[in-house]
Amino acid sequence: MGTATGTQATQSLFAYVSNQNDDSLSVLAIPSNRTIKTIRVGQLPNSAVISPDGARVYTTNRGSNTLSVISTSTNTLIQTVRGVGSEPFATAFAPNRGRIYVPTLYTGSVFVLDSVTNNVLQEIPIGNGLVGIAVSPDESKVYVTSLGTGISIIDANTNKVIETIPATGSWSVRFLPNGTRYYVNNYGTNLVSVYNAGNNALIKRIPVGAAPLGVIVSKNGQRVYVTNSRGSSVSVIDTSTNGVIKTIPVGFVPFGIALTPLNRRAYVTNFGDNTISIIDTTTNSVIETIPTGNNPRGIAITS
Amino acid sequence: MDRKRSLAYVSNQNGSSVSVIDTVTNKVVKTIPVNKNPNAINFSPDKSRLYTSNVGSRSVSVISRKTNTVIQTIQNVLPEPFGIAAVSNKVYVPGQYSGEVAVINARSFHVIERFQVANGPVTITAAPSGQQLYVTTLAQDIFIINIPQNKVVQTLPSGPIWGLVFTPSGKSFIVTNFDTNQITIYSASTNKPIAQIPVGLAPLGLAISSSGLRAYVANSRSRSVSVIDLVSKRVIKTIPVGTIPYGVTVTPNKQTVYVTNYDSNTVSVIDAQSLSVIKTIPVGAGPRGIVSS
Repeated sequence: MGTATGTQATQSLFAYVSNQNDDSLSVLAIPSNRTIKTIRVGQLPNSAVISPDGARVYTTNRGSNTLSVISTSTNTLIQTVRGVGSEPFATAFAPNRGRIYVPTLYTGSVFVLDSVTNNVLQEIPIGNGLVGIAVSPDESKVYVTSLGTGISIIDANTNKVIETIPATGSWSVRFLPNGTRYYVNNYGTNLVSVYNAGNNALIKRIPVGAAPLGVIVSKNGQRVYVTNSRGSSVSVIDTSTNGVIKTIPVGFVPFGIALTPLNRRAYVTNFGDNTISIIDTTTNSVIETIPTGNNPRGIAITS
Repeated sequence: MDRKRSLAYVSNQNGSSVSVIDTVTNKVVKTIPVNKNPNAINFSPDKSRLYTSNVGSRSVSVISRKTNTVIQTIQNVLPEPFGIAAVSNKVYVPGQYSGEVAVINARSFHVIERFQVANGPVTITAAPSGQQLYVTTLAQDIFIINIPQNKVVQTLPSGPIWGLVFTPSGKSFIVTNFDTNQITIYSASTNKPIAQIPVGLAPLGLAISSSGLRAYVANSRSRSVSVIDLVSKRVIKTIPVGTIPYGVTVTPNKQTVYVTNYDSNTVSVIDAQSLSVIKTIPVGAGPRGIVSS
């Protein structure tokens, strides 16, 4: 863990970036932002997520219908997981339950994996065009976003859908750390919808840029960052007012976004121009743009 | 020689190839390597060429049907190419995430223009007049583009749509409603919906017989194809096929139906008379697009 000196993490940080069109995962050292290793993964890796214990990186590979599991200590591929349906699209963890959840675009199911063995334990049929997923901070529910069926809420005890919230073209969902609210970007309508997690009531719709894809919440819960894929920008939302406080120009087709542990930097993958924009979150401006592999999409940063 | 045979061409997204199927013997007669991850395939207007949009390499592959070989690979078309249509001497390619359409000169193989359309395009279809392009999106609506201005001239509110095909008469077009598990028939003169017909789960591709009497719809999450009588506007049969049926084509002559099974790496062959699967053909990995001559 980085220590809160107020200026900088004392330990080395690494960013893991899935280069969709290279079938690879790049490891970047922070703050030098140099690529220290590029690891071959499955075809068309569209997401990259670090396990809560920091030991592994998971990519979903929508071209080979697999997950690649990478050890963060050796930066090598240690496992390839099959049987996760047609076009796995995202990964979410419930560490206290020892479970991993993977939604698939075309199969329309969430696959439940054991987080130690990575074995597929169950397939939960959900709906059409699943793209995003988040586990509530108390791990009681799993929220799944889709292009065809709205937001489906799964009871994590029974693995059954208990509610479906109508929402056209919802791409990603992320919770505040205290679990009271969640933020969903509406890909088709260029909005971010804020929901009360207690009763799933819509609190507010926030206009953002065109075709929002990625959403991330700062660990202190004060900011939400949204990548506007067709707006070539990142919207910064203040969670106390749920208003956009800044729109930051970035590269072409910004897609994934990750924050450094103390929320000082945001790293944005620009899928369309093979770069990462690094944002200083104090000034909310891009301080550096670095080259990547082809079509960088998923990104995760160690803590 | 090949232009005289009835052939079906399948873009194998994950195999980065095109399978050529002889529709008389129902055997793969050639596998053509193309650039990385072809997700859609279409003919040139004179049918002398095939074009694939390659989702994993920002490119378009051009295949000569005389030789069944790639004669050109057009690079840096746009990020995430997701469909392809050819009109006159131009090729149009939508990009799913940039929401643009790239215009390629089919003689010089250069990208001559990119114009903005909408969030999340998935299919591009040329109207029979050759004057317009219809772009469907998973995000919101259907967009009608005028050629040669290359501008959106009309937006049809529709919800998420995947496939769009015109009837042979050109009087109507049919779309698959990805979210509501139905198809909608539109009048091509008014661009207004005239009928909705429930089908299976998450319909993707569809094709219409050359008689204009039947439509075949791939229900991706139901492992089935719905056969619709376009006179009575009812589903007359639901045929089990492979896993994640995706693209559909009807051969012009024998009226045989070919369906790609994206997750089974096969093509199901359906006899249009008996409406049953008469053969399942192994193809490359991740077959998606299919066209036939």
